[in-house]
Amino acid sequence: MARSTPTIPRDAWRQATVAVLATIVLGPLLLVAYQSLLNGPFFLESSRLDLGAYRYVIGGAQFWRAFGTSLVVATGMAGIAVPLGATLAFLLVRTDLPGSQWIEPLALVPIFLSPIVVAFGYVVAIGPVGFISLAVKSWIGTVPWDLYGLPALVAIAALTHVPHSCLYVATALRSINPELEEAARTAGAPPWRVAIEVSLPLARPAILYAAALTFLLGFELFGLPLVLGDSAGLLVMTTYLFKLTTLLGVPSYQMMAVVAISIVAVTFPLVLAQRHLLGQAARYATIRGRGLAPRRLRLGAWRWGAFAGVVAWFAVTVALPLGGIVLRSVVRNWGIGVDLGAVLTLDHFRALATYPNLVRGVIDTIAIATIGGAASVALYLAIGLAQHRWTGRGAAAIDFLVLLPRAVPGLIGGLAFLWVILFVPFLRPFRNSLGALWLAYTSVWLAYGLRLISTALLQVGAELEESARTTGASAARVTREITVPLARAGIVGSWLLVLMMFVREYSTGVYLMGPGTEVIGSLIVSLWGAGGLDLIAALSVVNVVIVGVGLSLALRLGVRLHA
Amino acid sequence: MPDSPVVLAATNIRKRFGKTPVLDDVSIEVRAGEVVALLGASGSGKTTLLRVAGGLERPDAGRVVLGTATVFDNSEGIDVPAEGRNLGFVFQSYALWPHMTVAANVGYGLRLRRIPEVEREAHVDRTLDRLGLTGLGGRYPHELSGGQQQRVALARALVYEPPVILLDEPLSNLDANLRESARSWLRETISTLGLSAVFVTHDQVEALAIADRVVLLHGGRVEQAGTPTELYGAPRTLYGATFLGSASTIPVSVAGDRSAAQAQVSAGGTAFVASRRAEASLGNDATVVIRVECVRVLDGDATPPPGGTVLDLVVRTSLYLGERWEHAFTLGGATLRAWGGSPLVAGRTYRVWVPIDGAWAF
Ligand SMILES: Nc1ncnc2c1ncn2[C@@H]1O[C@H](COP(=O)(O)OP(=O)(O)O)[C@@H](O)[C@H]1O
Ligand SMILES: [Mg+2]
Repeated sequence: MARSTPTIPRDAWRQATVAVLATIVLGPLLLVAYQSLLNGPFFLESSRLDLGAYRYVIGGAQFWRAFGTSLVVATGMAGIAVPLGATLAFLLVRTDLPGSQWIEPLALVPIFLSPIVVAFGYVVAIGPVGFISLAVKSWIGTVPWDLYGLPALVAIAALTHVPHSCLYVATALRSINPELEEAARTAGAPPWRVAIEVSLPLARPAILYAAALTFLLGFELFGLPLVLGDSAGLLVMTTYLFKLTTLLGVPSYQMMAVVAISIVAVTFPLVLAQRHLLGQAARYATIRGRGLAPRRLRLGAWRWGAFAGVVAWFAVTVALPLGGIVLRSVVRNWGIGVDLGAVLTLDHFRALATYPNLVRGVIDTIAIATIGGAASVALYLAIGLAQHRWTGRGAAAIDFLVLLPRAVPGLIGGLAFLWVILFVPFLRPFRNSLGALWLAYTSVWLAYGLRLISTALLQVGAELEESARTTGASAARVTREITVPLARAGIVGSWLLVLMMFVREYSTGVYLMGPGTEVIGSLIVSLWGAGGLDLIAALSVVNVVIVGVGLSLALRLGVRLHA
Repeated sequence: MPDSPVVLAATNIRKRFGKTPVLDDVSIEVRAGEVVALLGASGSGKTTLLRVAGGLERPDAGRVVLGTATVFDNSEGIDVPAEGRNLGFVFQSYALWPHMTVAANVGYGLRLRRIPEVEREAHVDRTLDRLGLTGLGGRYPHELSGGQQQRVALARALVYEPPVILLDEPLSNLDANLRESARSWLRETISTLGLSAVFVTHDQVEALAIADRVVLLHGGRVEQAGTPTELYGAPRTLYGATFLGSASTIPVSVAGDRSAAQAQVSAGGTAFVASRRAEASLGNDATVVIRVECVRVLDGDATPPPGGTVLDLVVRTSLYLGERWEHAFTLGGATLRAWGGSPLVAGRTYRVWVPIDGAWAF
């Protein structure tokens, strides 16, 4: 039924937003899909449609080995990180764990650390010649662990992903009406039974969601396996893609495309499953209670034991790698019996300043995080406002479109954007500009940013906007004078979080890196290939410092650290 | 008022959310200077109807006319957005903008209408004065009490003199004792300012006290519309009779017609006369609704007034309500309630008088 109503002009810009979004999201992916069906690079006239690349890649043993390793890593990670995360959440939210207000923000730190930095930190701390390994060796004569192997990779991946599960479960536990638990207590259930029989089942959708998320992140893992799996020859899907050119000896666009499509074929269903679970979690969370926070469970004799457990986790996950990097960045060399005082130096940082590309990398990282992050948030805000309180068909389209980037690991996102830039003539001049990198970052972090923005916008009660409409304000004025001012704190918070994610980002820039598009993360990846440990350590410290500044600013401003 | 011009007419409104129809062919009309209450149980569609009139909800079918302008008509493809309707809307939550002062909240509609600042400020001050908010213009909403917030919300809705203001449960967020004084304040304010208003409430006392006309909604349909006295004194349906006032509901069998207006009924063997309220004829089984205030417990062998039936009934309990007692008698399988000045002895039989025009058979 064709109706002409005055609501149509209002929807016009919304439709336009959908079109822009669809182009940014679908364009690169379609190009990758198309490339996977060719027998040569997409930019060569001679390339023909052909399934040969699929046959070759999927017929190869290495592909399946990488796939198997990814599966083991993702499963192991979810199997370890989710129970630990749920336990940590329960300890923080529902028990008298000492110092829980302090621990909670600290526990989220791993989310903001660049995995490549963390991986490097483990190498210099507990790698074969790491600080701690050498100390242990000089003491007992051997290093009783092997950092470069599947078990260590799974363990480290799991420990660094505990906060993700903790966040979702903590949110769910907080939204449980305390009266539901109190009712069980008054019915005669001891606290631990309440936890197991009431609280945990109520948090179950959140736990399942966290498991799906962790599994997905496990599949997208790149920095950790790149550094930790390298010398053992351990390949996961992403590192297999990254090493493909080396493995084949020649760059092969169609093979890379096939691997990229295979990864997305696994991750996209996971994203859909997550979405389904999130819907269920939301249904459970509506039972929000108004009463006071429930009395916290007394841990009694377990109190300090639990505390020690949490501290140990934090030490292994954060203090160990960060300590390793910092120490490595200020010593000339290290070995058994070396005196720390004699090798201390700031030379690595001085050296950093003499490489123009590294200096550019630091400046570009800060620029893309602050200015670029603000521009991205502006774009996310535009999309968020288009979707805000919109029930039209386009809103569902946006919903679907933002799911796709979540299924695309940064490495593939960057590769796809590189190809788009090579493919589209008027974009080619931007090949070596930060603009290209910014676009790729914006697309890779689209789902994350939009979730932050829509959370911020939904904090504004519908009636506050409707009352402006009935008073006579147009939709645009309501946005300008009511919605955005009221959501301001949330928008600033989103910017800070996006800023930190952009500083942390290392994989999206890997393929896009060239003169003019260096960022710290991708510089570390390329230095790792070349073995420049001194510079990596210095760059890592700079990276952590920038994240630290962002994080303390966010905490100072009271930003909610999760989307 | 019956001959004043119609300022708001919503006709044949239909609206469904998903599969459930929420408004099913509802029509209401408001004339200039009139206060109309939309009364109904929770979920009956009152808020939805108000939002349809205000342009916040788009109905599936129907027509909304403001004065002489059609603002919604889906067969003609007209849908004027909320901001184009020039109505005043008071939200249940008040929806005061927390980032604006009281004066800025109230003055916002004038700013949108490009009233020059000096004039605007004077107008805002005048409105605040009229609503008893003198001197509060510089405060922020969270610095006000609930009652003050409610007044600011009203001030904001009427400052640009809309032809009709729409109020969604304007008193429901106030404390019980504040609500009673706010009720008469609202009625007075509306009549001194000569406003036309539609207000939603689930509280029958509020509707009867404030409105010139009441529209009773039930399950998305208009059950009955009329003056408060019509609705209370002459309900046309069983639902209307039980929704308003306090009444006993007695299932009866119909023994026969006494006249076109009266029927002989029997509740578990106890016979009495009731007046027929249903438009359709009564079947073998019917329901009689008896307002509590009509029933009298007769002292000793006092002569009953004419026009009623005297029943000998056993009292089960007497409840103390403060200013009176409420007695529960067994009548057939049901309970007949009555008010009195003193307690009765449980288990004793009393003579109870039920007036014919106070016992409505449906
Ligand atoms: N936006 C909506 N989506 C789905 N159902 C709704 C929506 N708004 C109202 N309803 C449903 O419509 C019915 C009438 O709601 P409402 O008009 O708010 O009733 P009232 O104000 O009389 O309590 C309710 O059953 C309610 O659940
Ligand atoms: Mg309502």
